[in-house]
Amino acid sequence: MRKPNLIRKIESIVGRGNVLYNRANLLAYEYDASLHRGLPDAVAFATTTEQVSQVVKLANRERVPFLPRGSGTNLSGGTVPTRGGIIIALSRMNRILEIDLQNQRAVAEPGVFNLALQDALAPLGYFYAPDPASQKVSTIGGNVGENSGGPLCLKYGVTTNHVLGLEVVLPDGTVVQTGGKALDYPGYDLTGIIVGSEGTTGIVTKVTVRIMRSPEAVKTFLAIYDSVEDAGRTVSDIIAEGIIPATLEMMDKLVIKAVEESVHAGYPLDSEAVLIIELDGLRDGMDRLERQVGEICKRNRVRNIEVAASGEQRDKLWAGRKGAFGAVGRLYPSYMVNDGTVPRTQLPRVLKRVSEIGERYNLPIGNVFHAGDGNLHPLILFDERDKDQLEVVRKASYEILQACVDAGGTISGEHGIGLEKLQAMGLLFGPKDIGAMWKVKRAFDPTNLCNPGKVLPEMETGGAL
Amino acid sequence: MTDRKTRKWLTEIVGKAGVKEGEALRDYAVDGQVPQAVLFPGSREEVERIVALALEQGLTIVPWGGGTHMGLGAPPRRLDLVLCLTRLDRIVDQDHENMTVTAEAGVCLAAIQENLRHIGSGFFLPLDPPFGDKATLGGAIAGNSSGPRRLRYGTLRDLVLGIEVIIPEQGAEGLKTVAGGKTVKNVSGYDMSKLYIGSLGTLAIIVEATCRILPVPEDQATVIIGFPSSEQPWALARTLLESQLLPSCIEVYNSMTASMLSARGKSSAETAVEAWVAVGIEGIREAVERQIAEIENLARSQGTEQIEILRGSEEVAFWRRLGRLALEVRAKGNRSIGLKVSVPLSLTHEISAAIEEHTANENVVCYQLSHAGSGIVYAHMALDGGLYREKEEALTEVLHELRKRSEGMDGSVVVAYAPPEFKGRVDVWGDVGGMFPIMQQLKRAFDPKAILNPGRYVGGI
Repeated sequence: MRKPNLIRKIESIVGRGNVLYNRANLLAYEYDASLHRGLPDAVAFATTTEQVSQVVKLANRERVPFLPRGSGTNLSGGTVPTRGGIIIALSRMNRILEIDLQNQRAVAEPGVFNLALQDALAPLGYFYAPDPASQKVSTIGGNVGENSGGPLCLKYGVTTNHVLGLEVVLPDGTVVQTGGKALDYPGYDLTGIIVGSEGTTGIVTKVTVRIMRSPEAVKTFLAIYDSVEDAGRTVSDIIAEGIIPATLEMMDKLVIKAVEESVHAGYPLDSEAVLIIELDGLRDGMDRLERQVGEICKRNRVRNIEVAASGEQRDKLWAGRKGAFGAVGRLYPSYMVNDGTVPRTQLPRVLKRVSEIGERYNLPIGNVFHAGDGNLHPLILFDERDKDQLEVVRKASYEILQACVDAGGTISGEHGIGLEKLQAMGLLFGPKDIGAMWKVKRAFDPTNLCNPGKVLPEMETGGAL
Repeated sequence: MTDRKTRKWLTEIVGKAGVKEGEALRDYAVDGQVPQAVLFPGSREEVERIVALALEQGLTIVPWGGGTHMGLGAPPRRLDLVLCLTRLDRIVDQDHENMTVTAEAGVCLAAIQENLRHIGSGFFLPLDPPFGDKATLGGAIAGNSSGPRRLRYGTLRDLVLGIEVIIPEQGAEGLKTVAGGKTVKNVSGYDMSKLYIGSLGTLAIIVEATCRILPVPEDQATVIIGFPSSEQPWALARTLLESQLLPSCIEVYNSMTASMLSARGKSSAETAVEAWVAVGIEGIREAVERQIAEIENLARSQGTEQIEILRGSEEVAFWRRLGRLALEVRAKGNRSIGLKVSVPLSLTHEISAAIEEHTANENVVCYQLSHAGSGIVYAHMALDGGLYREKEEALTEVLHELRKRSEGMDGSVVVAYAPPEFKGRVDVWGDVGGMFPIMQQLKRAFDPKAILNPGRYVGGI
């Protein structure tokens, strides 16, 4: 009854042809890269901040939920509209507004692909550090929502460390600025709260990021191992010797095989583990560091080390890593990526538990992960059409999260809580801790219409609204 | 008012030795307001019980660490209790293999550094705020303190991984809450640490934090260069920032600041020198050597031979003196004023020149120190009572002018310290814009009875 009316009103804001409302069209927006589903009532493609603000105000008047969406690569269900409502699609707000080298900042709309920003910066000799593996399609706005990581964050930190200012449409439709091009603005660090809040505190319409000079020298190594343990020890030893590489990435046998079949990155099929180690910085002393890393690998029985001699070779080594999820996706109908993160020294123990859990539930599990910062990505492989199996996968996944928490770690390093890990929040936090987060949510969104039902589990004491 | 009964309860919580009264209270005055009692809780549980009692009795609390940044903020609306956290001084965990340190709020930063230095081949917490030998971890977090090396290592928002706080709200589960953890990557729930960093203890009392640490670099040095004109250090800073070199800090300071440093022993009172830049370099040996050489060449190409390279204890002493600048200025005059001006990087020189001009026009001596790589200028003005009274009006005007100018640049000016009468005339924080209503909501949600630092934060929060 109300719906056609609502659609007309949205159309009057964003224009006809910029709203999807037929079931057939909406089906493409009922999912993201997680296993969750939920049909929206409408998808509105906004092109300006003003339009976003108007749609949000409309949603408030009509009391329907709304949520932002970039490319839909979310891995935890954060962009799935479980309560219906309006998806505000930001993919058409995709302009890089400013590259300000003098102030070492770039300003982008939320729909800009991460890689598009990188590609615009690289010829100028600059880069933006957060580099999620999905960077070809994931957007800056989505990265802000999830506080995305990526291989480089071992050395450079995650998205929040590089986002300095936001333009935000608050859940009541007001447009405000947080932060800016300078540093240390007075007042609570709301930029820091909004980043990683998974679109539950407002809709980001402009992002000011720090950009940095590209390093003078980069050395990329592929180290091939006959055992996962040896590769793991190499990781610890490198850090223990005071070397902080730009990245330390690891893949296990199952993933190596999948990657070779799809990307042909040159990983030997009979190896048990490969490490991608990348050093960056000034060229001075780089040779000495290279030797030192080589020694550490040898001490840990590396089978072979290849050093990328050209940019092309480096890209090839990386293509394997960045295409890993996709490659594994070719082998099995479905996978669930786990994102538990543990203190680095706990990696061997937790990896062992992951493999035990896989055996117990009879599920193949591949591992591709950010070893340097203890961020696991076990890929549990299965067929989601088999509903019984889906339940088993969820159970196994929960046990892996439990193992990470037991090891002093956390349930998500970079993929977010979304819907998928709501229940697991209780592994980590008590009602009081989650209650404090609810205080933040309510301060921003007292009516709970802004991406409701995500990140924070509803609680008896004050959680439910 | 804390009546006798309340006093008795407080004493029961912290013990007789944990309460200060009488004359000693004057040392804990905030903007001239003397508290009714100063409490030294010995555990988190004691902090919790004090906060619970304060809630019940409607008493206000000013949390206190090393007391090094108590000049920050507007005068408190009311001050009943000072809660000094220096007895929460345990380093809980030093996990060098995972490069984290967890410590209670009252631990002195210097103690953390000293401990880390002796672990393995040596580690450090990459945070170097002023008076690091006295500042506490909790205080540094509450005030979001930082120092020169933030250029390379960032600030507390980049270093704090996990936090434990006491929230002043009565509930069945107590008042303590945690967020974050021990891993660098962590998106489990909202990033609550960010909220507490720089909140000046207006939302919660910080009792513990976990921070990133790093291995002590293989080599380090500081290059100090004097220039005959005040533009030149900025030109050098710009060249460095546009290069691929990786200085850990670029500090530009004027001759007044240099004179303050030299008064403490170092010979740098060259009369022909207008302005200075100190560049810190650290990393692997070869890279340090090359950067020193390149910076020396840069300086020479700009026509100065006033170059000094500091290493070892000389270098440490230099940075310690620079870190004590505000203290020295305040020792010169008990009505001194300090400003912190932040602007986008490329405008740092312009705002620094504006500060120089305005203060010179008013005949006020200004000690300037800038983080030239971060767009931050500190202006310290030494004033005694007589001079302050004479200049009060003019300095108020100067602040307004600077604020108008920096805000036009997308920047801000914060009064870092000032006499209470000056704070009464101005807004020490400046306008925080459209987000203020959300900040108010947050304050109401976390501290519904407004017992923590009332009136001291932005917009009277």
